[in-house]
Amino acid sequence: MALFDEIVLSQTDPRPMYQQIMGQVKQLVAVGDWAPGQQMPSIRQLAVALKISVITVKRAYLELEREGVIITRQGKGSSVAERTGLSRRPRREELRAHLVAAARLAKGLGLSPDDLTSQLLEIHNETTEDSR
Amino acid sequence: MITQALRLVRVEKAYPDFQLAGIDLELPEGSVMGLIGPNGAGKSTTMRILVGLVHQDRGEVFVLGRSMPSDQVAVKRDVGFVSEDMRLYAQASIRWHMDFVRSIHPNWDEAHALSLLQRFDLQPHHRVKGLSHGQRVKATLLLALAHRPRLLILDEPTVGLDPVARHEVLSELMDVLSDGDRSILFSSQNTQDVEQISDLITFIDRGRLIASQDKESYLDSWRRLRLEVPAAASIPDLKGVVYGRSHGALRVATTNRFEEGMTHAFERAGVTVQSVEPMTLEEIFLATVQLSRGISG
Amino acid sequence: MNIPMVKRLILKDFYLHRYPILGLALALPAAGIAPSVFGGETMWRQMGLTILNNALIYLIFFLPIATIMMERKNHTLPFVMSLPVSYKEYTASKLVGSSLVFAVTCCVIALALPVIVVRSEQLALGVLPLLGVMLGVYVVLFVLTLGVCLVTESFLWTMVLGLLSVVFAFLFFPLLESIPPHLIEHWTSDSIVWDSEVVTTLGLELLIAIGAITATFALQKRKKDFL
Repeated sequence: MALFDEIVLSQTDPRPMYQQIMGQVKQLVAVGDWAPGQQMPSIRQLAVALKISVITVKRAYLELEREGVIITRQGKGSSVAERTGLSRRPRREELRAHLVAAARLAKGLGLSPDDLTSQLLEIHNETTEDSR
Repeated sequence: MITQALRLVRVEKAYPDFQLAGIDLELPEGSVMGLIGPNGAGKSTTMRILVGLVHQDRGEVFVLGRSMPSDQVAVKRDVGFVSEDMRLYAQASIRWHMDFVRSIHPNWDEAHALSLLQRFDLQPHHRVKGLSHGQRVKATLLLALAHRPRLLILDEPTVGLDPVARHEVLSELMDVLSDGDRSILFSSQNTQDVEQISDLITFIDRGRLIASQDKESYLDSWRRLRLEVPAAASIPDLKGVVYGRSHGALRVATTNRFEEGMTHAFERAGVTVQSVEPMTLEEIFLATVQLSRGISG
Repeated sequence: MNIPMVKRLILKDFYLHRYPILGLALALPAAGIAPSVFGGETMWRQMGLTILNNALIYLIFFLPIATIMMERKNHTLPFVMSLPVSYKEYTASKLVGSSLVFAVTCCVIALALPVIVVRSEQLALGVLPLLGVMLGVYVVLFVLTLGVCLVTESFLWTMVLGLLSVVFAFLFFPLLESIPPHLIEHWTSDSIVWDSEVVTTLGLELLIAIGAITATFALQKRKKDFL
């Protein structure tokens, strides 16, 4: 049963399983592996294939639909939306999430915005030197 | 209306040293319910009542729409039951057991039984006596699955299994669900199994049901918050928030009523929310038991 | 009650215990009877009769313990009861299955007794009614042990009842002292006389056996826990 083996859930990923599914579906759509209009596996099919509960997959599909990534039609199942608004941005979103976390932490430590940016610049320069 | 695979109404059962105190439980058809609880919480008793091995003192029990224990023969035709303390006949072979169950179950599906034999990597001529624990569990499960039951009741099906066998068993359980109207009730000490495959989660502790809810919203309502409390500020008294024992500037809070606005409530009180973390089912279970027993973190 | 289901459950027990059943119910009694039938020395014949006596006592212990107690002890009871089987059918299969085995042994012995008596130099034909009564006592003890085993499911109580049959075997001879002389006279004569005392005792035994079976079913029906 190697169906849908594009999606792999990780035990060490701290995110809930439905978010892992969402993230991976979005990536598949963003890179074009799952083309616009393509039929999605049914909720039950995907649940059986991933060996996770139906309700978890259902949740992921509902959220994906809310975000406009997929479209669900009554009785026809779900398919990838024609216009998903997803470009090759998932990596960027990831970066942004890290920056948000860093900004929050800096605020908690009482760092000023200038302190934060100068530290970031310092780190940026260090890593560029390393890679030389 | 959704049909219920099982329904318990105020079910009571008293033993000299333990009692099941008014259990209300419903499992809609086509879903998987994980039953979690410490040893001796009443999981096995509940499951035994469902298959008629034990009769309730009070309360009503309906399995697949039929009343238990009065209708137990008809119910058991559509139910597959496997419990951790169930054994097969040591002297007889797997094939003999298959023939025995086949002679009793009108719905026995021989082709399905043979494919299960293959998938579980079992040799039909092997005697039960010589099987490993994992093989015994798989053989027992095969006998419960081969008549294609509408409801599977499994008491600790994965206990003591190595990772490979556990994976095979869980796969087979999920396969049952591809049919849509079949249901599973299972108990496990392994909260990871429960978290992975259940649609609904039920916590039992000391004979009482302390929570029964759909898994996603349940996991969603629980969060652990790491807080930084400046000397000047004090932690706010928020509903559904329990604080850890430490008294320093760094505090850990758990809540079962998380919503986005909660972080603002903390910020207003001058408390910085460093992080909001989702909790695993195991952590939630421990917190729930402590909450219901009235012990603080 | 679903008779074919009861039959399947009985056949299951017969299959699982086929070797001890064949040994205790057929081979051992046959070995006990053989010296008398084929004309052995007195010593061999006595030994044969001891074996016969023991075979009955073993069966009274073995059948309930092997088919009922072990089902629980080996945790195969939840397996059987997870199948579409009712407790009535389960109880019936245990009672009927064990009784069938015991009945076969009793029949073999009952058929062999006249031969044993005829071949014996000490026993007169008139002793047969007495032997019938004795066999009846074993039947009663067997049914009681079986019922107690099913109802109490306690190893201890089963042993207590089973031991009563051993006690009976030893108490029989002292009992002879209090037996009315006319009975002794009949038992030592060459003609078979069915005295009223003998018939009453046989009737009583039959009643107790039927009562025990009825009580077993009634008590099983009231049970709420089977594990």
